[in-house]
Amino acid sequence: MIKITRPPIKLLARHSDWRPEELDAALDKHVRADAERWRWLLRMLLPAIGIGFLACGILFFFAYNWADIPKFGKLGISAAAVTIPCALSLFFSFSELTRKMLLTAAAFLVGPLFGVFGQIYQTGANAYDLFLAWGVFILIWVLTVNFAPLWVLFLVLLNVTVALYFEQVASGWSTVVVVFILFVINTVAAATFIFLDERPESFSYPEWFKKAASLAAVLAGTACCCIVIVDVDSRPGNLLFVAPVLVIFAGVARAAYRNQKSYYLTLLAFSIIAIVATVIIRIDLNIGGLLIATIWVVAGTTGSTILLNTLRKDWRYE
Amino acid sequence: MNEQDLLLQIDQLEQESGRSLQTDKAALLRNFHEDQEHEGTLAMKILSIVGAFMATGFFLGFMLLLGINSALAFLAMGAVMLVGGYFFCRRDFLGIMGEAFGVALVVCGLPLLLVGFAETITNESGMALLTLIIAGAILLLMENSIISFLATVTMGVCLLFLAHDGFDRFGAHLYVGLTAVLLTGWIQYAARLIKTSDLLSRRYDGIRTGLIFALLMGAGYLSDFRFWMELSRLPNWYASVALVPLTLWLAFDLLRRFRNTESTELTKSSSQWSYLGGLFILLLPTILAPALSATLLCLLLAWKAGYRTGTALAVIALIYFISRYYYDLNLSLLIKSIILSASGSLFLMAWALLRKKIAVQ
Repeated sequence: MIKITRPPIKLLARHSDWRPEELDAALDKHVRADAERWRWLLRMLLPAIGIGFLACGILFFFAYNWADIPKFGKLGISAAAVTIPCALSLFFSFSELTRKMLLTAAAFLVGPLFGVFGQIYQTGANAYDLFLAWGVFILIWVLTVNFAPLWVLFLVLLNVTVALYFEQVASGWSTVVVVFILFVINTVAAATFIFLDERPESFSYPEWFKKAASLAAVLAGTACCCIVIVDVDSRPGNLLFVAPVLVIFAGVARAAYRNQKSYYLTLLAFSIIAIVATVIIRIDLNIGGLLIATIWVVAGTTGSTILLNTLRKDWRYE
Repeated sequence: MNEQDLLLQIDQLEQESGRSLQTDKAALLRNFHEDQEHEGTLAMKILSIVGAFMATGFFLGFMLLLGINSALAFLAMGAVMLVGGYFFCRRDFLGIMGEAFGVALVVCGLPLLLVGFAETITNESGMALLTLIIAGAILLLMENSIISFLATVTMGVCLLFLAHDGFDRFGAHLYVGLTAVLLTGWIQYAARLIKTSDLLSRRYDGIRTGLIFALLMGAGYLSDFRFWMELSRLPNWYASVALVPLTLWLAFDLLRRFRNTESTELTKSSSQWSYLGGLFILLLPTILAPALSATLLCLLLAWKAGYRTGTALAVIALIYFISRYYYDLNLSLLIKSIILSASGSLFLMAWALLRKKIAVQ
């Protein structure tokens, strides 16, 4: 039996004497979520919301001014919040997904545990220390559990740590350096996940996760180039940061073209349009510059759309 | 999908219908090739929209620096762009190139036209009404999924503004209720709408995405707890009068649908009312937080329609609105903690109760 997709149903509805109830039955059978997909949604939604709310409830409890609770109690509660989900995840009667979700909740609660520790012992640590320690101490879980939402938490912690380090410690660094470091982190992450996912008999990662990591990398790379271009007069040396970004973009474009991945080419098209528009505005922030930038953006968007659509069609017929 | 795959699928659909369908194969194939030519991926559509907004920003800057401040000039330029956009978006005019260019022209033309009217229409409500009418006309006249989406969202923004302007906070509730009814009808009666007219059929997908955005936008407005706390305290449940019954109706419809195809405990007639009762209990805490029930309705509708983008949007919005609700709620952290823990436990209990019934079968 052939798998029916949405487009033929739409076309047949438009060009035949199909009655609405027949169309409805076809949509029910082939397009709309069937009972199994609804079960899947409930299997995901109920524990995710349940565990998420419970974890947040515990987090809010820590945030509450709980001066009356003795130090030992505070640390005990915080530690229990981490250990209980870990212990529950050892029960084999839970599905693998549930156990991974429990460990993700535990990893999320490691941060409040460190927060409480810092509050009680007045460690005098900066906020970035907390995020750095949080990331370091959950690293083993992240690597062994290898669960996309847990990786997202880890990458967010890494990005926040770098941003806070820049703000609180390395205030002498220029913004470009920080954005470039974020670009490197997210690029390495996205490249690793894509590479591992492509290899047979290796780890597998969901498409949304790889796309989100790539989006973060491209946005950081684009921001890095645009900031360098805007500040080029005062800091010409920063142009050195643009070269590796563009080299990596070129490499990604080549790999995406060879592997027929239009999403990554679309991201790069957006980036190039934004970078060139910034160059135009930087050269002439006046009537002529704005007009040329307008024309460039319209032409760039139209050209990219045509090119990407042509590639999409060519690849489909290969 | 190539033509051969399409024909195989069409054959199977014709066989499944159990009668001989009168199909205009030539028109169907022509339409298929047109769609193949024009329909890009979601990322490409987003690129078109972002590019159009960037170009609009640059062009407005250009106009300002040029010193053009005549209303007539703005009116003329906006009108020319919109008319140009109309022609460029016609599939028989310039193909994909024209379509991409047309989106930029329409996105740029509408604000220019409105700036041109700004001297004549001085009050905000008048401008919102005018924008609503122009966006409606664009939706009716232009056949392009990106433009249908943008026009629907624009109409949503105008309606929300007008509702709030006319009826204050209650207006926003009216807007959310109305948008929820429209979106539910749009998805529940998809087959009838698509078969009603070719005009609706060709704009169906764009309007569906636009309505999801419009509802989430209204939900976002209602979720702004801190903002409305500064206004006079109104009960926050008005929109729930529409949202809760709509969610229950959707669940009832699903249970009825699966009763015919499934024979599990979940869909037994006697169990259905208890499941609806359970759902009502889960929805009760959201009555005073309509942003949450609106997003939940959005999620269920998008999931039912098999619409992945809508589902992803609803999930992101749900996470954001839940966080915002508990962040802004004017309660002590301890009370918040208790509410969250209790809600989490409730969901985990529901999961524990249903665990065997929702397992893979």
